[in-house]
Amino acid sequence: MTSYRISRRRLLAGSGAFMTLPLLEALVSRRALADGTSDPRRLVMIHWPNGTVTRDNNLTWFSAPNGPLTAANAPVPLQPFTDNLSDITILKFLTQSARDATLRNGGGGHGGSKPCFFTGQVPSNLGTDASGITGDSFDVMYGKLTPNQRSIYLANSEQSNGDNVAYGYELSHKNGQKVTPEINPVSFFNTYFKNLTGTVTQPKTDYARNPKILDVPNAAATDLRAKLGKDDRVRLDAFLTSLGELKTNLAAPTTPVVTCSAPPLPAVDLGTTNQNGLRGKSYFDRMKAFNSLIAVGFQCDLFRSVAISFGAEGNYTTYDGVYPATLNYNGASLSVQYDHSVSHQSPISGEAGGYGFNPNMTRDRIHLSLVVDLINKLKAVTDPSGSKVLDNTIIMSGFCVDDGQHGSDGGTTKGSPVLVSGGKNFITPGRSLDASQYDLNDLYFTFSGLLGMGLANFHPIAQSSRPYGPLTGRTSGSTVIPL
Amino acid sequence: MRRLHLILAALVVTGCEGVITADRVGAGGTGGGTGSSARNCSTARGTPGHYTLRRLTNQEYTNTVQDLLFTRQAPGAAFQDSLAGGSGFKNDSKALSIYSTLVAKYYDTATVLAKEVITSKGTSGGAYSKLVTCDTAQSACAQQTVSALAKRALRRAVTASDLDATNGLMGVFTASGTFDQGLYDVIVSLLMHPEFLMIPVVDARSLDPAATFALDDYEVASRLSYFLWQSMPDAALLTAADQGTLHTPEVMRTQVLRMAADPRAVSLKNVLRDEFAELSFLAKTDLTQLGQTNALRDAMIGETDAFLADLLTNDRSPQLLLSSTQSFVNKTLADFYGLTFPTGANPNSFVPVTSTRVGLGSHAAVLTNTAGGSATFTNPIKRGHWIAKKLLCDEPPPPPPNIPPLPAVSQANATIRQRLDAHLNQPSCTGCHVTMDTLGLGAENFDSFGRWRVKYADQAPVDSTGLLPDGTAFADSTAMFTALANQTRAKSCVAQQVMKLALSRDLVGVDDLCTADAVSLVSVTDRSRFSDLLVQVVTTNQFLQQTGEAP
Repeated sequence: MTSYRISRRRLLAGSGAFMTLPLLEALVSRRALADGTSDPRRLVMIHWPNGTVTRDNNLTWFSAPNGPLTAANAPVPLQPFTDNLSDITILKFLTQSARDATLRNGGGGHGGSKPCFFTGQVPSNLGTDASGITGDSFDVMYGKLTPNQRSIYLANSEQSNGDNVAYGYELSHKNGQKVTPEINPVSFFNTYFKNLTGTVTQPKTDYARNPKILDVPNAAATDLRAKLGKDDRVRLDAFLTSLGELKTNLAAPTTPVVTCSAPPLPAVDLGTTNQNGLRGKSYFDRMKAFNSLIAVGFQCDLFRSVAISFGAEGNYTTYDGVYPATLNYNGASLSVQYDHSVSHQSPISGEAGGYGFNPNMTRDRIHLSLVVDLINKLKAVTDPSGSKVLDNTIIMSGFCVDDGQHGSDGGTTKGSPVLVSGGKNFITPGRSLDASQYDLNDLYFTFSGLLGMGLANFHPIAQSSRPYGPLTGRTSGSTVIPL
Repeated sequence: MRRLHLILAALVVTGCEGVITADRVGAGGTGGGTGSSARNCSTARGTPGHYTLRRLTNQEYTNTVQDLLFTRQAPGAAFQDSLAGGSGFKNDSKALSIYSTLVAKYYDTATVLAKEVITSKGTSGGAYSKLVTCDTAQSACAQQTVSALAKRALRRAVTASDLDATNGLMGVFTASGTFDQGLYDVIVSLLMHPEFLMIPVVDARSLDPAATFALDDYEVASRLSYFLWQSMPDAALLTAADQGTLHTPEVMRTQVLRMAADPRAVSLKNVLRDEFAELSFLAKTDLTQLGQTNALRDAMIGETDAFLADLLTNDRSPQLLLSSTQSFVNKTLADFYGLTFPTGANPNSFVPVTSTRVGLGSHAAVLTNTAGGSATFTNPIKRGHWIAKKLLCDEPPPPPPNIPPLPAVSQANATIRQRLDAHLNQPSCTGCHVTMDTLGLGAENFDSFGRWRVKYADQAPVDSTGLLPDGTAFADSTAMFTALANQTRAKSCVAQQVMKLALSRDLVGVDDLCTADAVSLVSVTDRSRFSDLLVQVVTTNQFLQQTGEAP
C-alpha cells in the first residue's frame, strides 16, 4: 500500500529543495570561483572494453549508499584506493538507451555495441568495418570546439597477435568515420612532445581585456536599484553581489606561467617491444606512459580532449608479479587466466567460463588503478592559475558491452557502473550517486554544459522520436545530472 | 475591457455571499459555488498589485537568446532548474532568485553565444549578417548596430546614456579595437545587463506604495511576449510600443490574436502541459518500472499535448479544459483506453476520438502522474490535491509536521475509502482532507494508469460516489468531472491559472480573485474562445498596471 504520509511529505521536500538549491549552488560557486574558472577545461573518456564485474544480482560496484564515498562504505573495487575516494563519483544504474537499443537489434558484442558509447547513437552496422555512426563522437565534438580543434584517441591494445582491431577502433568517430587510435606511446611522444618548448600563460578573460563589459551592466543595475522598492532591491542586490564575485574571479591573473619542455621519452615502444612475452607488464607500462604524456599535454594545452580504450580480450596476459599486491582480492591468482578483464568469464565459479569472483574483481581493480594513475598524474600538475589540472578535467570511464558475463543481466545497462572523476572546480566528485533516472546521453549533455559546448541536447535523433515537443526526457540527452 | 469592468463592478455591487475559503468542496455539501462566485467582492477596489522584479526563467532565457541572436543553442537547459513558485508556474517572480553560479553561467554562456555570432561572419543567413546590416567601414555603422541590438536586448527604446561613449555600450565597443571584437564585447555586455536578464517595471511612482501607475508600452510588450511566447518582444510589438499605442484595447486585442497564431505560441502550450498539468515529472518517469512501456508514457503525454495544441491552435473554448469529451489518441493509447483507432490513420499521430473522459483531469497522463507511483494502488489524496489545486484553485496548506500515518488495513477499514474515512475522523486532518479525499476518491474509477475500472484487483467494487458542495451528487468519476466542469469556481480557476502565468505571480486578495471571477464570466464559457480569455487577461488592471512599493 502506498504511504500517503510519505507522499504528502514529498510536497514539503519539494518546498525545501526550492529553498536550498540556490544556497547549495552558491556554496559550490565560491569554491569554483576561488580556483579560477578561466583555466581550460579538459575531458578524458575511458572505455573498458571487457566491462567489469557487474550483474543484476551482485551489484558489487553499487554497494555504497547515496552520498560521499568513504573508506567505510567504499565498494570492493574501490577499497584499495582510499586516498582517491574524494576524486571519484560512481554513477549507479545509469541507462544507456542507445546501447540497449543496439542489443535489441541483435548486437551486443564488444565491437558491435561499442560505437554507441561515445556517440549515443544506435549503430546501423554492427560489423567490424563500419559502424554506421553519423557525425562525431562526444570526444571529437569537444575537441573541435577547443582552440587547436584537436582530439586524441589512444588505445592500450595491440592491433595484431590476438587483439581484434575493431575493439580499439570502434569508439571515437569523426564525421561518421572511425578514428584510428594511437597505440604506441613513443609514436605519441614523437607526434606531440618531442620538440615541446615554450610557456603557457593563463589567457586573459574577456573581462580582464575589457572591464567595461561588466562595468556597464554593473552601473545599470546600480541605477535601477535606486528606482525600485525594497523587494525589488533584494533581487538587484543579489545580482550585484554575484556580479562582483564574477568580476573578482575574472580579473587579470597574477599567477606565473607554466614552462613546458619535452618530457622523457617513454620506455614502452610498441614497435620494438615484444608484447607477447610480458604482456601484463607492458600493458601497465604502456598505459602509464600514456597517462604521463596526457598530463604534460594538458598542462601545456596541446589538447583538451582525450579518448582512451583500455585493452581488449585476446591478450593472453598474466598479471601475477606485475600488479601491486594491494590490488589483489581475496588471494586471487591471475597466472593462468587469459583475458585481462572479465570478458566471457563468469564471476561465479562453476558457471560456464567461470573463473571465479576473486580474479575478476582483481582485474577490475587493476584497470581502476590505471584510471587512478591518471588521476594522480593530473593532480600533480598545475594550471597557470595554480589550480590542479585534475580539478579542471572531467575523467569519465565506463563501458558498453553486454555479452559474456561482464554486463548486467537482462539486456539492459542498468548494472554497468560509470565513473566520473576530477573536475572539482565545477563538479563535486567523491560520491555514490543514484543515476537511475538519467541516461548516458544526459551525462554527455551535462558535460556539454560544464565544458561550455552549448549543445541544445545530445543525440537529437532520440528526441525527434517523441510525439510531442521539446519536453525534457530520459532519452533526449537534455537533462542535467547533478554531478 | 469595458465589459469586464462592468462585470467586476457588478460583482462588487451585488456583494456575493461568503468568503474565499467558505465553500470547500466536499464540506458536507454546505459550501457555496452556487452558480456565481461565492467570493465577497464588495471590498474589491481593482488595485493591480505588485509584481516583484524577476529574472528570466531558463526556458525564457533560451527562447530569448534564440530570438535575439538567431542561435539554435538552448543554454538555459544547462542552468540549475528552478521549481515552480506559489503560482504553480516557473515564471513566478517570487521563485526566481539570482545567485552567484547562475550569474557565472550567464557570463560563460554570453561568451559562447557572442563567439558564435562572430564566427558566423561570412555565412549567408548567419547571425552576423542579421545583426550587422551596414558597412562596417563606415563610422556610423558601429552605433547603428549597437543601438539596434541594444533595443532588442533591453526590450525598450535606447537612451543616450545607454550608448554613452565612455560609460555606456559605445564605450564597451570602442575599447575593443576592431569592429568584430567590439560587437563581441557588446553582445557579452548586453547579455549580462540587468534589463536583459530581468524584467523590470519602473516608474517615477515606483517607490510610493500608495501609488498605482500604468506600465509603459515597452513594459507591456515584454509582459505580452513573455506570457504568450516565453520570449522577447518581436519587431511588431516594439514598433507598437514605439508608437505609444500598445496599451489600447484594440491594439492589445490585435496583438494577442497575432501572437496566439504565431508558431512561438507553442511555448504557451508547453507551459500549460509541463507546469499547469505538471507533466514534466511524468516525462522523466520510467514506466517500465511499473510494468508499462515508455511508449505508453509518451502516448499519454502526447494526448495532453495534442489536446492543448488543438485548444490553442483552433482557438477553442477554454472551458474545454474542464469539459472536453474528446480524447486525442495514437494507436498505443487507443488500445490502452479500449477505444477504436480510426482505420487508415497514422498509428503514431494523435487523432480526436469521442470518449467518456471529461476534461484535462481525466487524461491518462494526469491520472498516472498523480497516482502515487504504484502500479497497484492509486493515491486519492494526491489526485485530490491536484484537482483541488489545478481545477478549483483551492490548494490546501502544506501538511503540518508529525502527520500520523493512515490507519493500518484491518477488517474494519479494508478499502481505501474506509481508511481515508478513518483518518478523516482525526480533527487535525479533516480541514484539508475533506476536500482532497472527496475529489480523489471521486476519481477512483481510474486505475494507476488512468484506465477505467469498476472493480479493484480483488474484485471489490470501486466506490467513487460523492457529493459536491452545491449538493450535486455524483455516482462515478465521469459524473464527478462533469459536475466539476459546471462549477463556477472551476471556471474562475481556469481564468486564475492563466492570470497567474500572465502576471508571473500568485493571485492574492479580493482584487486579484474578483478580477479573475469577472474574466471567467466573460471568457470561460461554452461559446468563448481561448483568445477571448487571453485578451481579457491582458486588459485587466493587474496586467497593465502596477502598485508601487515601499522604498
